[in-house]
Amino acid sequence: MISFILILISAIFFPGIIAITKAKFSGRKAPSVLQPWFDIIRLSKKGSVFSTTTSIIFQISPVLNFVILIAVALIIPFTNKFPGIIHFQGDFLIFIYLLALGKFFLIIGALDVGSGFEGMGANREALYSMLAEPAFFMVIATLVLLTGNSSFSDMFSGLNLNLYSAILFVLLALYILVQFAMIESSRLPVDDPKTHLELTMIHEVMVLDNSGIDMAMVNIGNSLKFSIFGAIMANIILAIWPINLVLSILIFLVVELIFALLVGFLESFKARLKLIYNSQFILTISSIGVVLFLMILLLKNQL
Amino acid sequence: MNSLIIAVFILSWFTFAFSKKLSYWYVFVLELILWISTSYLAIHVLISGNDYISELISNFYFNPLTIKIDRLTAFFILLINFTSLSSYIYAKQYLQPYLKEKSRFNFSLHYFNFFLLNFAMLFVVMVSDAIGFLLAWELMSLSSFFLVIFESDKPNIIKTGIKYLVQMHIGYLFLVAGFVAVYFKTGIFGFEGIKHLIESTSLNYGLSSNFWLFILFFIGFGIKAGFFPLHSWLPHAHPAAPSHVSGLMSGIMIKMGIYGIIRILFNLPELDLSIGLFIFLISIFTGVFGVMSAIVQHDLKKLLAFHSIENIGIIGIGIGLGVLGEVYHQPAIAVLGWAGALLHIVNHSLFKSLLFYAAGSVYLKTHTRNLNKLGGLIKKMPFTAFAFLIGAIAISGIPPFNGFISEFIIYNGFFEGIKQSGLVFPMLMMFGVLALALIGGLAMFCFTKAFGVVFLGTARSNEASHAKEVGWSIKFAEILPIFWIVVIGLLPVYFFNFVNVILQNRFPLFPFKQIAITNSLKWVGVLGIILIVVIALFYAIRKLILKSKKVVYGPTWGCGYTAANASANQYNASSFAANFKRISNPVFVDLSSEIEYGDEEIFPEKKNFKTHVEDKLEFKLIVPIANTILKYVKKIAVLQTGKIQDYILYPLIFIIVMIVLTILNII
Repeated sequence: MISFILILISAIFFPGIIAITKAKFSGRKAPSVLQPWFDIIRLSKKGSVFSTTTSIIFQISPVLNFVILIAVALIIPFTNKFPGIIHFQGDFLIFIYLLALGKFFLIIGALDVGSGFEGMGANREALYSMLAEPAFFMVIATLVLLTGNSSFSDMFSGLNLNLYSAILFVLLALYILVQFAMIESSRLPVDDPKTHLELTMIHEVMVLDNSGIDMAMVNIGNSLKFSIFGAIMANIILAIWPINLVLSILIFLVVELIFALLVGFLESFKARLKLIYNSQFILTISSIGVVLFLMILLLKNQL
Repeated sequence: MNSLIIAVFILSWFTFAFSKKLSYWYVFVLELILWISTSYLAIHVLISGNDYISELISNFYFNPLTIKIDRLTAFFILLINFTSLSSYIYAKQYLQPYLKEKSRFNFSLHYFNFFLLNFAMLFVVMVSDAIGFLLAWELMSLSSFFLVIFESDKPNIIKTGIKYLVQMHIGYLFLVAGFVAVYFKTGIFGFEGIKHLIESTSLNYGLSSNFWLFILFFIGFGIKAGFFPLHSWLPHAHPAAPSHVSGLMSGIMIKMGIYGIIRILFNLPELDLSIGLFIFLISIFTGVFGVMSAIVQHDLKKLLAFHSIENIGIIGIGIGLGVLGEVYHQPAIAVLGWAGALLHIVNHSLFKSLLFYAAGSVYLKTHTRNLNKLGGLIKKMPFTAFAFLIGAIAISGIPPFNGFISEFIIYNGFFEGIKQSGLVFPMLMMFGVLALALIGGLAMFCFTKAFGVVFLGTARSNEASHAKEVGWSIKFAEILPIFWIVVIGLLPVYFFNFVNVILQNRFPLFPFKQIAITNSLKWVGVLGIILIVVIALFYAIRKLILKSKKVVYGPTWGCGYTAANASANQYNASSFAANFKRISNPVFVDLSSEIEYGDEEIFPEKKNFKTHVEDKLEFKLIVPIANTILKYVKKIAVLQTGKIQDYILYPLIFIIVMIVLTILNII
């Protein structure tokens, strides 16, 4: 329960912090931290425009994606002491596959419009998220290997590592998770949300024809996604260095904050990759995941 | 019961006496009797737990023909019967357009062979004696061959059929060789002999003799199942066959190969690591290869055929996990592997037959299987679209449908394995996780493409824009698998327990009641139900909100190009796969052509280009070898002079040579 509330709180501030960071770095006046939410409220007050080409798929996909993101937020625990509202052996599998279900519908929702742009975005999103999936699996597999538990609720405990291996593990795992979250949320270096040309977009072009309340739900979903991945990162850090509850909550929020700042920072200073190189980049992340797993496996056998 | 089975077999030969429409109902009645009687036996065995053994014919080729139904057989009998049922119901409307052009004999032959295929598959799983088994196996290949070539007046259908038949017989030879090898070692000609194989310490090329024996059987059964690199008949035969036959073949007939492999593994007295590794690795390869090839296809049924290869891979990965678990003495992991594999057999037979039926409905109403000529069918054929969507979600292994359940079980097996100590075993398990994750992701990619291009957007051809929904009998045939897809997805525990019943004989001491994953499966089911309800609720709320808002409808924004054809601007199957094609070149040969413009071509003329890929293995390996053999065989054909004198001369020469050789004491 704690984790769910914390995720919601983080999700409220996440997009605002990214926006502020980006504004500061580019020398603009920063918007209010709640500006993205004012936009969402404005969107939900608006009417909608639908293409006559679309069918029920287009109408249901934003709702479905939204509900699913809330559902997966329920699975995330808060350290090993406060399990998620839904927890069982192998719950991370349903976490990953529910995200896939949401994506499945976003993709076919985009194809439903029958526009070349949407097709382009749908196709890219499908390819990149599919290539990225093994990376996340490898981080989870490493956690399973370390703790001998295959449920999110117990996975973030008992990481008996010495300092150096702990640092090594945290660094690599967080690197993979940050990159995975960036790919999943279609951010740099794979996709640039502030691009203006449809031809180079991925996620933004997929939801190009959504409007009004549908668009609002897509936007809420995006910030939820970020804070969910931030929560996993926070859990990893808290698993290595466990502390008392109040401090843990503080650390959790700090990690989310740093993650948001990092996203803003990366987006201010990094350029988007050429689309052609995206697949190589994502596959590299997955192979780093394999390296992480094998490294920890070797370490574990040595101890 | 036995006389009933023999009676329907004899009665089936009278199919040829009936008219086109009556023969359908005649065979339907016979099928009903067969389904009910065998399913009754199967359910009886499953509930009581005692094997059903009965002598069908007392003197069959100097031996009694006995049918033996144990739990594994019973499991397959139910699957065979269910898939045949939905397939046969589907056939009625699907064959209607052919009523005029095909003769009465064609129809009777088709229905008769349908019955025979069902009959043969039942005997494949029921008979353990080699002669009876091989006969049933041959009957299965022959009857399915006749089913495949139903549209024999179309080009290439016969060629495809022959290709299928030849490959089946290559597999057949390996099976015979395997059984003969077992016979020489144990003196028993059949599956029972494998149980008595004495553990031989002799190693051939560093591997046990059991391994080599297993390879013999694996090639024989693997050709039927479609394991890489034995799969090359599959993507040709499935598109060529009528859709209900594709559904039946892909849904259950190729599983007969899996049945054979499972039977061999269950009967082998001891499994060794090499067997487990072999299945595991080749299955990973099969799965990844199948789905990679599927993505670049633009023939809807060929795409589905490649997905069959992929799913055989997933089943194989489960079996591999089962064997590895047993070899490493980890029954908890082995049970998860076997259970996942068995459940995936059920699941694949359901969603793959459903997908083939839906694809067949599309073909029936639009006369094309080319994805690039379809589109927008969700408005014209809403039920078919709905059926295909359910199948697509299920086959991609996404909750809340059944495909996820079996993959979930196998995944759990892998993660249990990762927890174990040691270096090699966790590493193998990691490869399994990687493979499943990759296959799942790729399958999702492929089915967003297939569903999106066929059913969404704007129609890409005239036929697609004038399609109509199919009739009630096809809908009913599709509802049958949909029902089980949803039920398995939402109430997975019961089906997990059901497959565990089959494994009880194999793991007599294992506490099946205390598998931790049972609790997880309960949660998965509950979560699925809650999700569906909540999504429906939110959708209703959204509808209510939209009612109070201004909603505008208009054409899709096309960058201001109002005059252009909207459908031409869409992404199609080839463009959807284009970026994937760039990174997956090793698997296939790209035969696409590009448009070139001449230097002086100021006003471009109408150009043609094609996007087409071929299976690399087939194109670079099988076809050249076959062509070389053909070249030499044709040279020998000079002997075929067509003169009767020559043909009398050949045996004469042979006899003289024999006599001379005997006199010279050479032979």
